[in-house]
Amino acid sequence: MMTEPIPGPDATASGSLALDVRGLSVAYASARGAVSAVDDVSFAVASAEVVGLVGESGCGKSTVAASILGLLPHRAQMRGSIRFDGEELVGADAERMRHLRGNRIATIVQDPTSSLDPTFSIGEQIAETVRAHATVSRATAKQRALDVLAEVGIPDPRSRYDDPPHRLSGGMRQRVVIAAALVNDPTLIIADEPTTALDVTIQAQILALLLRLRDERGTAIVLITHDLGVVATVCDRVVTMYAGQVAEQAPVLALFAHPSHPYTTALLDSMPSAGQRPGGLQVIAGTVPDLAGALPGCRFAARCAHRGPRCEARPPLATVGEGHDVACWLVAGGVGL
Amino acid sequence: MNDVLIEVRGLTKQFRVPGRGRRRLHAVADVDLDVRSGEILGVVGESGSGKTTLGRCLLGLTAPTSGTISIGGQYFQPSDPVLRRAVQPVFQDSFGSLDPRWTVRRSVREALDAQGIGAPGERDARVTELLEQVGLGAELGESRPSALSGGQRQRVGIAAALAPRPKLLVADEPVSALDVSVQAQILNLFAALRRNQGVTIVFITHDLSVIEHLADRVAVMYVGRIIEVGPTDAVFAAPAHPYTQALLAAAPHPDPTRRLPPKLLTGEIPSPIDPPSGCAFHPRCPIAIDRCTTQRPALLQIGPSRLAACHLLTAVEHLPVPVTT
Amino acid sequence: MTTSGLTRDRRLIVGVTILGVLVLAAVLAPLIAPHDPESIDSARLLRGPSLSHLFGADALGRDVFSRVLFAFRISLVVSAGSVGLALLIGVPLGLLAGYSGGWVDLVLMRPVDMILVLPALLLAISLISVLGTGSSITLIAIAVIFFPILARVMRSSAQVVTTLPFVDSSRARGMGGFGIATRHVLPNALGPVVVQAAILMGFSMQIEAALSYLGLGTQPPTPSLGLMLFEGRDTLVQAPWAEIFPGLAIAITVLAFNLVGDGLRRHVNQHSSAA
Repeated sequence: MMTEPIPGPDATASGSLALDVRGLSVAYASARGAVSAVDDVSFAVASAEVVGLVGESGCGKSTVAASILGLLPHRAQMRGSIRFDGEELVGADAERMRHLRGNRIATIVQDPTSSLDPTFSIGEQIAETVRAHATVSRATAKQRALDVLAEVGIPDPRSRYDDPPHRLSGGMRQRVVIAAALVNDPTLIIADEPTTALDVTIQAQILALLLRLRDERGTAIVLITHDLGVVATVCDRVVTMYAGQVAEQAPVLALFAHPSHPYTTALLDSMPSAGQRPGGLQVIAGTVPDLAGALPGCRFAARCAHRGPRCEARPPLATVGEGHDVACWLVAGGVGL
Repeated sequence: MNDVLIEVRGLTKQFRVPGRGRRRLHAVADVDLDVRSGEILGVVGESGSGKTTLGRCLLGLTAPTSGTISIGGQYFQPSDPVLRRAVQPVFQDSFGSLDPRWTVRRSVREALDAQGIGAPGERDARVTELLEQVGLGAELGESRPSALSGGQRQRVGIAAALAPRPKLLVADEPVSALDVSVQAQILNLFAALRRNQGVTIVFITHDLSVIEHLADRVAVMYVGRIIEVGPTDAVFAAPAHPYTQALLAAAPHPDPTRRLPPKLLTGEIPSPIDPPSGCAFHPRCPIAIDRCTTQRPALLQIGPSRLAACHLLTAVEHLPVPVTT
Repeated sequence: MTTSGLTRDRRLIVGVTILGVLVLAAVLAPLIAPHDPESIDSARLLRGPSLSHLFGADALGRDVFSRVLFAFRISLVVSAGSVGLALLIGVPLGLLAGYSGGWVDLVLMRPVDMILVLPALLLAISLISVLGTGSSITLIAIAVIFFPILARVMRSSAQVVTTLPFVDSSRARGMGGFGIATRHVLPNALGPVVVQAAILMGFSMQIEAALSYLGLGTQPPTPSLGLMLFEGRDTLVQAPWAEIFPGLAIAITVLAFNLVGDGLRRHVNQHSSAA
């Protein structure tokens, strides 16, 4: 099924933005100086939109997720703005964040085994999530849990309600995790590699489930993944991150059709596809830079085939199409001086 | 095209299930498979497909319950050191594929030292040569695995596997723990090893795009059995078995114009402890007929060098003749 | 990286420092003890702590400080010896059982389990009643109590390491079972055993003291911490120092060994989770 890509945040009325991240920076103090894990990241998610946050290990995508959820370690220094449904989350107190988490902002993680308590039945865990955020009777909470289990496709929820997590298959456990995320009808779901641990046919079922929930409930979804195949399959817009910064963001069709940042291009070219090409797969030389200390220029420059003198300065985010922004001197007037 | 290097016949591996009763887990059931000299054979399957157990049997790490494996015409016995070193493993990085306390040099040398290959004085030179072959500098020899990146560790693993000059590499999910750009480097390395040194590779993975890119032929496994074998391009262009079709349709493709297919495979992967009767795929199969629930389809020829195990494919041919790959 | 992690652990540093001072004191006991630990002096019966008798004197007028020093020396030898002997038996046993599995594991570990279910002190007392008393018998008795514990820890640790892929690789490279067990499994599995051994050192000191207290360990007139506790108990009110200082010596040593054990444990856990 094809979904019409939703235009970028600027084209949407700001009232329907579920999430608006502006100039988010996260730094940790370390023995080697401040480590800039996330640097000046901006993106927005409209309701009923799936935005993919893509990048390799250490690109900062999970730190962004933790910032939105208010789950950064205490020693992290956060700057910028995260507006959730119009409310500022940077600097919000812990009690407010606790209230939002699991209620209006839900999260789905990679490993369903570790996010479920092995000693409680799956039904009780979902009912507990209901009661943590609303004063309702046990019976009501149980009914809501049963409803949401049915909605995510657990067959015969009444008989599975008292099952401990280990009686369920990996795919069924991930459905339970999604049910727990959905039970309070969140405005936003942060899904961090939700299908990475699952088999291909099960992954497709879970992705279809996420899309159906998005369509039926209008939930905004931030999908964090390293898998460009998953991104192409379900996302409306994509944010590519490299070394803590946004390299490129675009509607999904534009990103795959006209990748404009050299990192995005290299990432797409390094994906295995049909048949061996004579030169083999494109590889990105070098490694991700150390994020400690000052990093003034383009963070990808050292590994970039197109680098020039101007890359010593940080490239501005230039617009190359509707909702398509690229942080590269190549599109901002050339890499030379 | 090429000579058959490995011949697997009737390979079966059952594990006893702990607990009451005499229940058995049918990890690998009656597998016939040929691996041709110099090819990369992809083995693809989901959880419980038996692909890892098949690989461990090829490596002599798991003793089959029944069936035979022969290498170059010789019956494979893990106790025979010459045959044993002819098959070498490459495992997934990140979970102890290298001894964390050993230096790179010592790990790569291990097979040479254990089997007394080459004079002790020449072994160091051979290690340096092996490290260069996998794209690592000799100066990394004194490092320990914790000082290396995931891609470097996987290169060391490959160098160590190549040390005894094996005829076959069995690689089980060797790139699954790596980032895409690093994965590309390792896939290029496997392709180069086959091209330049004629190493035969059995490449076990759940990742269809990796198989499509790298493998010459692909064997698809489902609940312990091979259900389809054929040249990769032919199988990916026109998968014959309904499971292969569903698997390929479900695999995410880096092409946003190809969203999720409207009809997804429903249901769960059956447990290999009590596999369904008849064709193990019948409970999920969209086109199953009555016969599928009772009678197990044999792996039969359905086209040029293509085999599949499905009643609906082979029933059309009268008196199908069993053909081995 | 390995050593820097160890040297940065504050508990470990405190534990090692205390142990260092104590061991040094024990080794140098003949040089630093101000008095003969066995000489009786009726002129200073139950004398309180003073500059010439730092820890006071006991009911026979013996210098408590000198006696604690010499007693500690013996305790330390018994602890180190018993744990060392237990390691010598337990580690190979656990390694073989954990690496081999199957019936080897069953045959080796059944008797070990049988020893483990017996109460430790009772087992020691019955051994002593058969073998006789004395420091070396105490050492053997404690080793008999400890080796099953160490064998168990070694076995489960070896089982975990044996499942790691590099062991399979090694097998495929043609390495023999003995080579794999000693070169791959042993070094990688030893961490938890070392932690356990450090904690058992403190425990050993307690058992030695308990046995001596009961008159089954070190025999008088040789000074022993347990024995001193036993002798001091009659004069606890008039001369508490004769009781407090040997007790403190035991407590501090056990604490130090536990600190070291905890510090090592955290390091071992970090190490294995990083691997």
